[in-house]
Amino acid sequence: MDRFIFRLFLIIGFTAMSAGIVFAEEEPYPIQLQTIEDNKKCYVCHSELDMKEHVMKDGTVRMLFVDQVVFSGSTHHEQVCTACHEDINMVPHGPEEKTVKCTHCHYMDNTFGAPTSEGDVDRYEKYRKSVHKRELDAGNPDAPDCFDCHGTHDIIVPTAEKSRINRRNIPATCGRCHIDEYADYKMSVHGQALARGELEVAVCIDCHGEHGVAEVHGSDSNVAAATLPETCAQCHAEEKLMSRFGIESAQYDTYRESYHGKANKFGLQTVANCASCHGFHDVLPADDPKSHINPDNLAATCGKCHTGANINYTRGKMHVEAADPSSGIIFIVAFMFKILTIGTVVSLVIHICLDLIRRFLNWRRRDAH
Amino acid sequence: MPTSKKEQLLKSIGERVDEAFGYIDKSGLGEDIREGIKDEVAGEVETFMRRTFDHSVKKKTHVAHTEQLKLEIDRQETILRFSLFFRIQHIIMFVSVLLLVFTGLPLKFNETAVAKMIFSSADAFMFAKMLHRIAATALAGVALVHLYFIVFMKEGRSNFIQFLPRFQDAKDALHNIKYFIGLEKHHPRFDRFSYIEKFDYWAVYWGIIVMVGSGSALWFNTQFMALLPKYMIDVMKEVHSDEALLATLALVIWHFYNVHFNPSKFPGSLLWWHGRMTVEEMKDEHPLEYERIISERAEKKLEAQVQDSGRNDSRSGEQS
Repeated sequence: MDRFIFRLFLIIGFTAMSAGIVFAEEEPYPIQLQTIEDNKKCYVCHSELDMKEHVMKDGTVRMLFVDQVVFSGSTHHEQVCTACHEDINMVPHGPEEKTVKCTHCHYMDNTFGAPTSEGDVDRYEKYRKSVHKRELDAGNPDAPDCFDCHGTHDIIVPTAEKSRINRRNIPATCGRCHIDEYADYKMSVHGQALARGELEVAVCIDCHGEHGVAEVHGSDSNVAAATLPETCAQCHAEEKLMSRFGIESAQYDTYRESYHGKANKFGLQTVANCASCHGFHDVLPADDPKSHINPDNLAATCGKCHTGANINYTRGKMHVEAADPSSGIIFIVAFMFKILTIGTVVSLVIHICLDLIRRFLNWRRRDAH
Repeated sequence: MPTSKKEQLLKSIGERVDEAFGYIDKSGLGEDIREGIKDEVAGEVETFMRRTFDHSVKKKTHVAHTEQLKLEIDRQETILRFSLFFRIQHIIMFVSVLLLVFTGLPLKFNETAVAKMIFSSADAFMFAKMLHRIAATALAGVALVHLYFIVFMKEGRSNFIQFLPRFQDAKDALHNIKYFIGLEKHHPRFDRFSYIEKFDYWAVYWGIIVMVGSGSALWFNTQFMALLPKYMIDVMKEVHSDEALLATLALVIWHFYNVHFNPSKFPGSLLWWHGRMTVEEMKDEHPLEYERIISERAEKKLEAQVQDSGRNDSRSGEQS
């Protein structure tokens, strides 16, 4: 510990000394960048390798090095440095460098063509209401700002394969903080498919949302008990999409026909939803021995709610559709009841109609006399 | 010239009197005596006619009056068709069935606006679930009471025997349909339970067995599935859901029409409350039962009279 404090003092001392040399040399003078050529002025210092890190007043270490090659490849390469670092107007810089505000350009209906919206909703507005921004405002130092996901000098268009927010990289981007979830996801059927390059497979944002990400059990969450089935159904009820992967698409409808699905619909929190049985980040197909719905694991999975669940829980299809002849005895029972009901109701109604007609005729005859 | 029977009668009497007066004139008696006899004859005829006509008028009004009184008595006098115990069973049953329908069918038809209204929140859903189970318990309970009633009680046994389907019911049904389409002049004469009521009874009998059976499996699903495979509980769910609809339709269409909404009962009958039916209705709807009740009563009365007179005889015998 003593050694650590000693080293820290040493570092701070050295940095203060070198800064003192810089400050001692000349008085601060104003600087203005007009064209991207002027960015070279910044690179004079910021491309120096020994500018890599800087200890700030509050003790945090900040990257000051900018890789020219990376920046010239970024989507912002035609911007001057002060377009984002707007408070820099003196060399050497004052002590109050502010965090970059992306909303300086990326606001709704801007004239620079900076992308802002998801449909009609301002992305920043969504982010402002998200759990990330609320945590950030509450002073959580780990909560992400724009650049934590989008990157800084390396921002490229999301369609580019290397973009941090390209579909194939999103799990890794989120996983920088949500590391356990990322580990589960990588092993899941979704994660495996993504690694194979299937870009239509669900990544973090498809279930959790992106800028507007909410707490799991929050009222506007897409993955709370009340909303999860719809979230899964976005893809899993799409017949075309599912048929490409050889997955049934009636799962959502059959879930909604089950007691679980109906009780869930009317707001019961305790009944099973998709994730209760299939898992969420670690979802795996039934034939995988690690899957929650593998026949060997099913008794344990059902047993989470139905105490004493046994091998009987594996005998029969889970997502049953009574109208489907492959449902066997259930189909036969439903079909027989259909015939019985139609037959009964039709004969009763005919009997009643005949009775009414007879009563009407009798009444008219009595009236005529 | 139209003449009524009465006018014809008067005319012929007048002619006869004229004829009689002709004989008197021709008799050669004195003027005073002839007039006296004529007065006498006219008086006799007048008295006779007044007596005759008056009597016939009185008799006619008397008959009409009695008929009307009889109808009124028929309309007012009632016969107890269902005992208090019978009615209590029925009331508990229909209250619980209505509750079951209102808390159960919205789950089947959960897309409808009514379902969303009834299950307006998770609490409402849980409340409906609780009500459903309370009503189900009441229904199962009353079914057991009914089993006791039809096995161990004399009244229940006799009613159950009369509820059993007979060949006569098929004949009655055919007869009734013939009557509806005009091939028969009168509807069939039913006994205590017509085929219409027997259908109701047996529909409920079968319905309760099916619904209580499948409903128990769903209620105690963990215990059920400890013994039976998953597809059996799916069968139970399908049966419970489908029979619920069938039973509700039979109830609303058949039972409600036949006992409440048909033109002669509309807007509804209170038989379920007081258990009574007027003699007029009994004669029309259950003539065989009515006749049996009346003859049973008459026999009892006669027996009582015989016993009474026997007692009187013996008493008078003792006295002498």
